[in-house]
Amino acid sequence: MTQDLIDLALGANRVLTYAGYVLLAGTLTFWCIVWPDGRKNRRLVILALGGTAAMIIGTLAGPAIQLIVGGRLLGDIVTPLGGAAQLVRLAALVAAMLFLPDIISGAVVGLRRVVALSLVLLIAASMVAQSDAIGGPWEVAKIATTGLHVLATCAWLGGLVALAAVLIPGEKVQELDRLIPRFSRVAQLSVATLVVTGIVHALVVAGGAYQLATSRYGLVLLIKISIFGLMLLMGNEGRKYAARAAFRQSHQPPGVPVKAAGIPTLAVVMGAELCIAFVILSTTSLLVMVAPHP
Amino acid sequence: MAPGGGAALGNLTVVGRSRAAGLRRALGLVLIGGLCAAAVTFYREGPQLPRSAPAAASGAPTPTSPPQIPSASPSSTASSKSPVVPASPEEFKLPKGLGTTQPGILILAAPLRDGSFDVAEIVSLPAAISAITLAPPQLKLAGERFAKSKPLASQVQVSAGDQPVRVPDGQISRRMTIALVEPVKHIELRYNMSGATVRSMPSPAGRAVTAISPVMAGGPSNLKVAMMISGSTVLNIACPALRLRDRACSTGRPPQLRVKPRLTRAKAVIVVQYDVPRPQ
Repeated sequence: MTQDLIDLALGANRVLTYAGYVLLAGTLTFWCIVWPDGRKNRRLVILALGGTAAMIIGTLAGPAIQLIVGGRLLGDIVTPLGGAAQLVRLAALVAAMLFLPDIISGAVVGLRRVVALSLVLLIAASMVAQSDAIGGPWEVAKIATTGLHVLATCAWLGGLVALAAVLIPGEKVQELDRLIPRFSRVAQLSVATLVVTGIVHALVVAGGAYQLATSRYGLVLLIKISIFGLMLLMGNEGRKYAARAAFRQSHQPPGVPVKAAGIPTLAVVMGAELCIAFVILSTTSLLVMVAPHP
Repeated sequence: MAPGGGAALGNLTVVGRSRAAGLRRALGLVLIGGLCAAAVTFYREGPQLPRSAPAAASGAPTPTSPPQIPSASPSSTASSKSPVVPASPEEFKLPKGLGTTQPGILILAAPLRDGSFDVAEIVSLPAAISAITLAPPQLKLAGERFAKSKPLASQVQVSAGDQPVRVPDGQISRRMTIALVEPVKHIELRYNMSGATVRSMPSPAGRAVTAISPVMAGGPSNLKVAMMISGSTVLNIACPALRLRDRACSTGRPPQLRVKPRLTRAKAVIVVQYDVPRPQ
């Protein structure tokens, strides 16, 4: 296999890992913070299990591609900390998969919430340990910003996917007026965290504003920010549309035929948002490749 | 069905589910425990595992045993030429791999206070040669900012086998070929590399980048090159001649960084980012 194909496989694997993280950690966070009773929702369980499977595959496939196909040696591709972080992540993923029935055996509150959030923190920490936050100057600042960035990503994107999985089929419209305000608060906090930590992290990694502005890393980051801005605009429109649909639904006079146009439109908006989210994850994967080394 | 059979069947189902859940939890605990133990072991033993093979395979030294550059000979400019991280000779031990135990070139470099680099270039050849060709580093691959650089290797000392070799004027400012007294397979060069440093503008005061590449131009073209940079102010190494995803090629931590992949001679150019120490 040529190096280009190996690079492509590694990039795709990175996107798979990020997507798995968003699905698993996002769904767990959604259960813990937005909708503890949502554990009964079959689609959310499928999202969590799918995310777990994707992360396990991604975690194993990354080194495997480089070892088997790329012909590289283990010492070339993992540091002691990075390798240990991957094993800890696998342990957390096994816990998520085998103990999920226990976590969702009741409303995700109390001890169940603590366990679920601990898994999210552990998985996020393992991703930080493998990132460019480790090493170089400003290590503590980079670790803090990367950790918060990773957590905010799962809360926002993962919550969005979970919300879409619940609402798009249109069977749970009565939940809209409860879920949308809760998720909006989480999303606003997450987006603010993403913006602040993203700026700080980019400046620290690039080594300054000038280096950021004149580097390839800065260019890819600019593209990501543009897509991020577009997604925020669409998210805001989708949120307003969903709120109106919920209002109409709950104040519909009895006997008046239900207008079904709201949910398909919401589905289109959220579907577009999810596509953009996928593009953001892909650009993040690209950023990892062009980031200046500490 | 006998009276009470349905209840018995229900009890059996509950017992079966309970057993399955117990088995699932037990399996989960065993796997989690095993993976956590493996993680701790990997973290502790990682550097000593056979996977330290990268040193042998890539020719680069292991992260745990990076060598120090031997300190320069005393001279009138000792204060300005002393390496940022001096090393006592007894600490110095050449790493196994390219240039030492395998055919290839090993470059060890450390920044000096005047912005130049103290470089040791150790060459091990697969077959003996009777003449060596030396040339200033070709920095075209290092990027635009080095376009106007005029690298100069000065105070050049060469040992061919165990014999010293005289380099005209002690400088390598142009391509030259020097005949050897007898064919040799091992050559060591020590020199001061200047003219390849560019101050980063704008940047924190003292921040600079230097391009480093072998001056040994002769010998087989398929020789591989390993590079190590020592110094407490060294920040990063980049390999601009490699493909995009491999350009961040540094591994290890300051004050001991090395280039992770083995480089071909055609692409053996690195850019070292570091802070030039304040004059004392």
